[in-house]
Amino acid sequence: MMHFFEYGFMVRAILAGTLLGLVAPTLGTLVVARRSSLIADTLAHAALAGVGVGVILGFSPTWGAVIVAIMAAVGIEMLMSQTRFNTDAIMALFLSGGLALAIALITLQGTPINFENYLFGSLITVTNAEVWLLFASGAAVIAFIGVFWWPLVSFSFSEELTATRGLNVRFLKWTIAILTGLMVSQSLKIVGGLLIGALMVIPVLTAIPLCKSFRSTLRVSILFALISVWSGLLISYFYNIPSGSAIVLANVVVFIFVYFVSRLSNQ
Amino acid sequence: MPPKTLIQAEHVSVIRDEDAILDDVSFNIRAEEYVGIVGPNGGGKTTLLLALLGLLKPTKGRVLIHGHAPNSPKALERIGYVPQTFLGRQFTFPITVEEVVATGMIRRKFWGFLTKKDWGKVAEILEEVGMRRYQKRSFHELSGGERQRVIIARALVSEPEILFLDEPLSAVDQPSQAEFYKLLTRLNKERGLTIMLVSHDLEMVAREASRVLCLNQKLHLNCTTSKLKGDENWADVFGDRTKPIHHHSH
Repeated sequence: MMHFFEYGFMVRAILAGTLLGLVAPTLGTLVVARRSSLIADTLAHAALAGVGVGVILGFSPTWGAVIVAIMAAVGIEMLMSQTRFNTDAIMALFLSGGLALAIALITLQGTPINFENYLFGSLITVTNAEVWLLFASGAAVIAFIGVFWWPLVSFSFSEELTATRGLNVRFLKWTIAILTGLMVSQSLKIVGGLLIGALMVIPVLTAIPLCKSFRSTLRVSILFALISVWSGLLISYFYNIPSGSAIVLANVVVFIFVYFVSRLSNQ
Repeated sequence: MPPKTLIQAEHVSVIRDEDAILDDVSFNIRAEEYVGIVGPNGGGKTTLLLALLGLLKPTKGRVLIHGHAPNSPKALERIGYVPQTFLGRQFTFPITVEEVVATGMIRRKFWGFLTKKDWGKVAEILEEVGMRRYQKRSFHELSGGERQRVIIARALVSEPEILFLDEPLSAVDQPSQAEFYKLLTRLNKERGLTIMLVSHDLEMVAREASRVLCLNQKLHLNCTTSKLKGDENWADVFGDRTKPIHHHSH
């Protein structure tokens, strides 16, 4: 059973998956609390366009994804603060625009990169450098959230009340968006661009009926994310299905189980 | 020695799309006053409050809190703010009562974690507003009136000198309203907290506040509530059919 640890790609996948299991629901807690869950999916689609940009310009698709996802995060926040467009309309613009651009660029380039790896995740193709990059970004996210925990809780609770305490609400907003772009773009190989949003959001949704406090919701959602990532990776390994699909399905199964158990126990 | 002036509004005008929302409004508020800001819908009450909180820059004139610009650190540490009741319905994510109150410390605790002493302070403030027994409860389990008490505790935990309230009980039942106003009066009398309460409830302001500002673009009236009876300016501000009702305690 434990022989999968003999494979370097599996060790890298478990390391990267564990990091994602810690970081994705941490950011997810903030975006779900602020009712902007769609931002993860939107930035993931922009990151896919970044993969195309990387391929066309001849540099690493991962770096292309990071740069374009961060640019999209900045663009979304600028449009939200400077226009009267609805948030969901802005998200739709970047989401479909990102995917359309990605497909166009990949088709134009014509070289055989397997775009499906970025759409649905592919364990075998994760490199050591990508694990290190993910580790550095994850550390940045956890440090930011640890240091600014109370301003972030306050900001999630009420932007208006946070602003009246003199805090720079725009700084918090932009930083969350940029860190989400950073994490999402580096999750493409593990979970896939079409599925990463689920890893940020579903563990938090699973935790909500069980928790009373902000802090406990964060802790419980991390626990559910780790359970889903580890079981999803094993399913992916043994049944040879894309890792992203297996991880998200594991998340959905945990959600359904917890939801019905919590409903029954409340009756 | 007379109480010091805490709030100064000097010829404040706010103009949007060539319409004056506030027109040359000036007043001084001394420490420990309990001020009701009344006026019709669209009369500029909330705009004035935003200017006093430093969230809106007047087109003309200026606001000073304790001699400082309202968005300066020295002014911000003196003010607490309680918004309208709808707040609780906007936020449905799990959060406990004590976490809500702790978010009031963010100016002092911008970095890092709260200490045991900080949590002691949170418990003490919850005791003061009569919500200590709900400390570990979910904020969403509370009624509208209870939530507003928690939001007051959140404002008080930063030890402000002035509490601004914007129609805080617009969707709260009558008995809870009475309890809430009792709490405000106690905070005003016992803590010496200056209160600036925006309301459309003339009767309540006449009964609870010590001073009233009547606002309808211009400041039509600025006087103590004891001088209100029969004042002709009520008609200017609210229309002929509106009169304040006075309740006298026996």
